[in-house]
Amino acid sequence: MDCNEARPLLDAHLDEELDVVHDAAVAAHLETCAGCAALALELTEQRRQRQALLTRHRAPPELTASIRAAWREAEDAMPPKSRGWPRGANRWLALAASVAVAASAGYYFGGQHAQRTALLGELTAAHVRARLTGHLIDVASSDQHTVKPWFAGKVDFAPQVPDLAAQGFPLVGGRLERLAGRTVATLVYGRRRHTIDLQVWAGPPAPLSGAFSADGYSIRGWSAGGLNFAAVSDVAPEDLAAFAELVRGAAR
Amino acid sequence: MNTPFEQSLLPHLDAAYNLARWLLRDEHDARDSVQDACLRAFQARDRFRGGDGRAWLLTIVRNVCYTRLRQVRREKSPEAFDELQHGAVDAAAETAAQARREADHARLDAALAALPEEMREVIVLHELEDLSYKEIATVVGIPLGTVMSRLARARLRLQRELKQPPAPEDSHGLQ
Repeated sequence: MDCNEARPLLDAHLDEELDVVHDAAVAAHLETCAGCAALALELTEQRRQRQALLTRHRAPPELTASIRAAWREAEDAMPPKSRGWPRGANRWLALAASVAVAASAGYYFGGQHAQRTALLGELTAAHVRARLTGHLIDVASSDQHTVKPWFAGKVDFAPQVPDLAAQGFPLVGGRLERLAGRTVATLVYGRRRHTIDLQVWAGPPAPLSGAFSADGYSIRGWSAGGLNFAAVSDVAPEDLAAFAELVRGAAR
Repeated sequence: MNTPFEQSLLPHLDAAYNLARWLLRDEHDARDSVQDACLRAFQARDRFRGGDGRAWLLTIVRNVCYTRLRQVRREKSPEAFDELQHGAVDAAAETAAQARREADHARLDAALAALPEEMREVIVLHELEDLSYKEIATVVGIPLGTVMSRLARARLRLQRELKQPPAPEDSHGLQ
């Protein structure tokens, strides 16, 4: 790749938006071309300045309040039959309730649902807490061979630590969490300027298989090989889905 | 207790307001537009099923803003340039470094405000709201390749604006 080919791709390279092949070619060019490397540095500095200095306007609290009020009003104005969201949810709830009743005590469904709600709450709380307290990682390393042994003796299983840097999810590190009375291995991956927590714990399959959202965060859960996995992040749901697929693929 | 609908959109009101505020360059218009967009989102909630709430809300906000801009332009053209909120350096900035930072901050805001909307919105979505190229393509309704080239041109233009003394803006279209 020469300068004429590399320069139009420089922005996308720095944004981590290029496909693997072009990205590697641009990186290789930057290794050998001082001019393009200097330009890349300049572009990076400009972007840092924009992100640091441009005003990010925040919704005034009274606007948020008035929007919530408008939503409530619109909800109340609807005929009771179509109330709720998404439409038809009430019907499903009614059906679920009757199934639960049919299953005698109904504790299976009720129990699973309550367990899932509690788990989702704990997972997002752990994700938010780590960011608020700055306690994101106990072991900082982009090297899977450093992170994996760190967990030895701290949790009663050996979590797989897949290397997904080439796919745009670089490993940031790992930490320990307590979730639902268990010690959980948390692998932290990056996605542009976001982070993804991958929580891994041993035990019977948790009722957390599928895609969920709670408080604006996306969660994807699955169970495999006696372990439970939950990926939690504020990245777009499709990014999280891609991440979950890669982790599952790496375990196969 | 929040409904699932509220839960999926509430976290994105800041992003919605920021986009509207930058596109319309007016606080009151931005509030009205976000309020309007949120009501539309509610009315159209059947079409949104647990996908990307942020991209979905931003798409609606953007449409409302562009409709408003077209109306305003019909009513009063040429458009009166809105005086920037951050035009003046904060008198409370005590140290030189702080004053310089305030000035840099004002200069960057002014340069972004002076860009044509098509360029301004990709900068806001990418640099302030951290949307990926793919998400921007969805919100703006343009191909991925166009996002890439438009963002690169918008950044160049912004840096050019920064180097020049403020001039009356020339055009709102893309060249």
